[in-house]
Amino acid sequence: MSLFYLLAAVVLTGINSISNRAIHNPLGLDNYMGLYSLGFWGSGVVLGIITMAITKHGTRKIDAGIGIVMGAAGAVAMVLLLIALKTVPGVVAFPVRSCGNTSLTAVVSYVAWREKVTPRQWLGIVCGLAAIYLLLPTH
Amino acid sequence: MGYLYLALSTLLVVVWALCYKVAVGRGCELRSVNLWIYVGSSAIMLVYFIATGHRYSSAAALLGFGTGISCYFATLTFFYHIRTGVLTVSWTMIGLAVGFPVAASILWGEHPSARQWIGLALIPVAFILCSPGRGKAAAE
Repeated sequence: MSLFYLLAAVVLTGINSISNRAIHNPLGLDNYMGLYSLGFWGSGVVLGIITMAITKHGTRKIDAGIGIVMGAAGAVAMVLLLIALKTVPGVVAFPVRSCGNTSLTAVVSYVAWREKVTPRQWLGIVCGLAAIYLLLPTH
Repeated sequence: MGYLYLALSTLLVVVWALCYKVAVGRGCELRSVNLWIYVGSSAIMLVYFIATGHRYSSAAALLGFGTGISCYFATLTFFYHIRTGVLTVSWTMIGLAVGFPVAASILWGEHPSARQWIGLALIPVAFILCSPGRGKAAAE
């Protein structure tokens, strides 16, 4: 079941990536990134409220704290990337950001939680990083 | 200055990723955390939208809203996955989603470069290698 959740998360993230790309090309809506981003994050609020109302789950301070830290980090990261792209070429920005965050997360979580990773999985991580690097745009 | 913004952006995405594990480790109600993620990010994006001239386009709004629904379920399913998953491995798998826009570009009539074809071919290999097998990590 855990693998199913991971595959679902990858596919849904892939759909997001397609949309994030489509807004530039072929749709050419670059000038409306602010509204696109607001709709992007705002729909989660609507869905989240509906989900909480249906499941009748409460919320605690720690849930809100961690959630707001994550949300703020994600949104500010998105804004900073958009600003960085005004001066940094995409050929540098996207590989640095994708490979950088993937490898840094792997290292920090391995060190912080002493996660057990088999040699086969390490090989898979290296293979995955290589795939990410090769897939990123070069123009 | 652009490189500084890029470095900060990368670090903040790392913070985002690590928080998945922190939330699960602290026994948080995952649906509740997921709601607050979007509350926090929407507040910042509202400020950004206003600060950048609040230009309106129905197409951009609809596309953003629709993509956000997909993102909401992506974060929620990843939360459920990471309860038993290994972040070191799983976050790399999430990174492989960059293959989707490349695959979509083929449908749009574009031709991926040779290096992108190699990257696409490596995705299933990486998945097979990273999937929990009968190794030590899976046993634990």
